[in-house]
Amino acid sequence: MLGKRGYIGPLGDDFPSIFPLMLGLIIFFSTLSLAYTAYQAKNDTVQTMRANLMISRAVRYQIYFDKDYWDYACQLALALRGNYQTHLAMWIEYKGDKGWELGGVCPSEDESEFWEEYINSPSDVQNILLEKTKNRQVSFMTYPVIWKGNDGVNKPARLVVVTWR
Amino acid sequence: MNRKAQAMIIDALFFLMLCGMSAAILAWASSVYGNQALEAYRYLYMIDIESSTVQVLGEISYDYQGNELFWLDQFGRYLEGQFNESDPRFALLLDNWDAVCKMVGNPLMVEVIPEDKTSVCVKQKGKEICADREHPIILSCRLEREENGQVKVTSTLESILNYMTCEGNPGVYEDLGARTGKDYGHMLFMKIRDLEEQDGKCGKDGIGIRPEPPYYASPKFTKLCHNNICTFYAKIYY
Repeated sequence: MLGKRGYIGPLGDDFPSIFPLMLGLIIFFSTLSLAYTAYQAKNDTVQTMRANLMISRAVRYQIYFDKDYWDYACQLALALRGNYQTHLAMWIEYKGDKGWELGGVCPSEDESEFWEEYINSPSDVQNILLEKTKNRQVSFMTYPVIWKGNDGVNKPARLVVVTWR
Repeated sequence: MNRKAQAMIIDALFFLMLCGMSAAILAWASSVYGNQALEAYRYLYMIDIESSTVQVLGEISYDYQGNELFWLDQFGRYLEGQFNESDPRFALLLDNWDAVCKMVGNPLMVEVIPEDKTSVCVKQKGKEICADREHPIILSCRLEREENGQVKVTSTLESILNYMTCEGNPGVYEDLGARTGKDYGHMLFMKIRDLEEQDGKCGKDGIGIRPEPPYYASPKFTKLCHNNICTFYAKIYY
């Protein structure tokens, strides 16, 4: 081949074929990565919702909540959460235009201020939480329950269970 | 490069393309099945809300003149005519119903179907409205749609009228509620009508339900009795 016109060399001849080969490899690995990411994202969402549902059902073993059962429910939620982060919040006493009174937050009372906003603007709080959790999958579930106040009467209340990983 | 090597490279490229396409199809399939799993869990979630709401409706109580009265019980007594809208107990009924609407947070409609009697008649503003097994009384909550499309329950005024109509026919609801001395800004709506929800078809009086997402009736009905006065069938629209 030496001395023939148009002959660049052994490597030079193969050089143009590297481009489609590289392109093919890039497309292949990109698609694999995309497939894995899509699967993982959907799987995370499903598993988080499943975990939240399980914790919510356990915590709502009974619909009557008072101070003692609230403490028990909090401990139960923390015990069941596994690798997830779970928060409970309870709103009691609907007061018309004044809205709801925050009855309790679990596990941390320090976050009461954060949760107080939730009842009036749940989408804002959800966005804040998504930012805090770096947009990981977060599952919010709200349930009607009964709050037994100190006066003994049964008041309608809202229980929110939030789970993320 | 000889022809054999070129052919091998082309084959390799073709193989890589096939693998890439397979991966894309897998991604699409996992997304589809993932959505189905999510729908199943959402359904379970709404079933939980429904059963909780009905349980709670049967257990709400309030203090009236030193006595603990149950909401469901009092509502039955109101339907039986034991007290009217001017009675303070009626205001307490509305107060607690308002709280229930806010508590559930989803469009809520509760059908009240008398069981122990063939019909229950209520006189309001000179009109007599009767309910029986075929014509339930409807309790509903007001909805407002926010900018992001989410529905917010605000009070017990006008209810799911906005989407609970057949084509071309506005929903006809009679305002049978009463304003008490205090302005709660809400009224209790009772309407006697047939409820049909099959594929969005209309009922006999032209009122039906459009089963468009995100609003559709829960397929599960729950029966609840308290002191043998009333039976509630709750439908949660979500």
